Amino acid sequence: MGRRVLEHIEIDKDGNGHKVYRCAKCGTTLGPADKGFKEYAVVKEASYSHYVDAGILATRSDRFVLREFYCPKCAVRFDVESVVKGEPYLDIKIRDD
Amino acid sequence: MKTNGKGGKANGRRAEAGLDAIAFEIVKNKMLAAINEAGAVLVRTSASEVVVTVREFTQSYYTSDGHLTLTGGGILLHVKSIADIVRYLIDNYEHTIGINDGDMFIFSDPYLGGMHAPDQAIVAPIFWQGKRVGFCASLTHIPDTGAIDAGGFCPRATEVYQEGIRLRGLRVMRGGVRCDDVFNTLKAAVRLPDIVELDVLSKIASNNVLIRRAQELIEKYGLETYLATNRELIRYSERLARERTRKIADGQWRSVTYLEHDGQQPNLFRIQLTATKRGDRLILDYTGSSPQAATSINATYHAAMGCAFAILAGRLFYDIPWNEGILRPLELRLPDNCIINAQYPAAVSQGMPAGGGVVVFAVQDVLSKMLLASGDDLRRESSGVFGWSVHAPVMSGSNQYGNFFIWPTMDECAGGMGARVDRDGVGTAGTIQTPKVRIGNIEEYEQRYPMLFLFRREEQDSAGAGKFRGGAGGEFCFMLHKSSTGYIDIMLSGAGCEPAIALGVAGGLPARQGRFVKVKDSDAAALLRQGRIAQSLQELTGEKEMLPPKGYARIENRDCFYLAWHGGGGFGDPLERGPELVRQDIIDQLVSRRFAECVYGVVVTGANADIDRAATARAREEIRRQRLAQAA
Repeated sequence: MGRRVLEHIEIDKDGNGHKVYRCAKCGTTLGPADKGFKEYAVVKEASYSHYVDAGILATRSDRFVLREFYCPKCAVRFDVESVVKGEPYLDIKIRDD
Repeated sequence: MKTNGKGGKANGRRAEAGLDAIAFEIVKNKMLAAINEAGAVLVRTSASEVVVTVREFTQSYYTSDGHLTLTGGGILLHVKSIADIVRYLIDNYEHTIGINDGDMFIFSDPYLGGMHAPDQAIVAPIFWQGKRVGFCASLTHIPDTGAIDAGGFCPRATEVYQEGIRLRGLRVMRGGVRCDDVFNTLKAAVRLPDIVELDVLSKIASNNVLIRRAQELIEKYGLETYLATNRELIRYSERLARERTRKIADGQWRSVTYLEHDGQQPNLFRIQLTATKRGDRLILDYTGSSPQAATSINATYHAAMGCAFAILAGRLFYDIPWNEGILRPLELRLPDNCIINAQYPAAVSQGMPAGGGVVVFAVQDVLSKMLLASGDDLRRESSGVFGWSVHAPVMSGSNQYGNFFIWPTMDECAGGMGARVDRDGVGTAGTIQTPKVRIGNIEEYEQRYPMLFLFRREEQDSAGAGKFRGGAGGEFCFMLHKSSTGYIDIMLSGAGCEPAIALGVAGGLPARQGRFVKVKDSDAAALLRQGRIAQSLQELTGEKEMLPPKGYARIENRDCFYLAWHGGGGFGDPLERGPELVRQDIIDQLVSRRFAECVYGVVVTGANADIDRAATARAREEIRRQRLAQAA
């Protein structure tokens, strides 16, 4: 088991000893750990209005989006951001030495 | 850039020399008991609903040079800033007007401490045999400050001068005798003079308990033991806080929250928090946050610091004595002139439910992720963000008895708890930063104010979904009833009505936003005459107006007012939630069938909500397929 970042994201070493992100649910290697894990995730970004239709949110807004990050293999959701459109990803840097 | 100058090398590693460990525990716990007793005195002597019913108050002890040594579970937001007030008192008055036995001093300046002018503290020195040996303080939220808006939250204010009387240490008690000149001046400045006077007297009574109990401890255990315990309390908390901080994963996390309205326009403000953890230090850096506003949504440094203290105390250091020691690992960096470090004389009366309030959300957000990346003992403390709508409608007008009233509504403090890593959040549980606050009974509201409540309950689908869901938020709706003038005014002081700020963690969804809705010319009274009580907004006819989070509204005869407040954020992917748990939520009416299917992928049938397992498997697979389709 690697170093946990979030519930289903961890930093581990690949066969060459390089640090990589893995999906802790399915074991898929996402990519080198020199970038944020969100760069390797499947990303869904939709306006609040989309989530109002689903009953998740109560108030429509053109300014805000929910941004969801999924494992590209098993589709488990890693993280969700609630931000204005255009906000850079909210990165996490774990010191793992 | 303003910082608290902390976060540096530990300076409290050695215990107080010569202090007996058992005596330390006894004195510490008796001080805590005195704080709780002083709170009970406040409840029994105040006439202010926000004190008697809601219990928005705090008491605490300080060293003779103004360092917080112990506080209880009241409004944690204020206790650190009162230490700054005590030091102001010492620096400015000790060698001028003097600080003598039996004196008490009243403060309500948000640029010295507290969150805004309604936060009123009374500070008293503790003397023993002619020598000052410490301070104590009691703080309550008073119902009016004499500001341009009743209640002291002022959406239209542009300078602090418009937000009511600010007190900088007037002596309300001199040598144990009440100073009528100060009382008369204060009463002349506010709208509810009798209630405000009684609030001042109740804080004096509360302080008298704190003083008397401290003197009894000194008499029984000796002055040196009392003083050594106070010094050691801060060191003890610092040691434990640093040990726990050290266990958190080293790294850096970023969170952004927003304010969607400045009281006049839907202008957007951004609060960015970068949290850096290294060893036993934690840096909360707000660089990148919006400049201060021209209106009253700003927070002072004290409000930002108080919010950080409250969350760290309640979420990370909940079992460590709450005092300045738990802040010593923390370095707070606040850019000058920013929305959460406004410069005098900026208006700040909505600083708590606005700028300061969203700090609460941001600190929780980063802390949850930090804990999740840490060892298992800390990982289990991670959770979704606790709901707290940070919107307090302050209602005022003429009640059914023809008397003027001000009601700072606090029901939104019953937010849903964030989901934990292994269990659901508790519904309408309360907030971290106000552990003792509760909400009143509807019958009490109806007795005091010109209203009939149609409903108050937990709101369906309000909690953030997840493997474990957040606790539900709440909603209420009332119709105006027998106001002697036929209307009341509502000052709206909200946030989180547009941005979803009670965030989930690790794939959990945020809770729904809060809302204010006015129903103009409703049929609620007509339905009552037919023996029916409307049970939802949808059942009411009338013009439904979504009100802004900040501003003003007037509720007249035939109108209704609806308030919904936040649930807690969810934990983990909702597709990992057991279908049986979802079914139980449906039975408990916390989750609708549509929500269950759309968000959890759980399909139920029939009156018993039986799980259709094949349909559930297909629904979940379809959701996963749709997720991956994003890649294309």
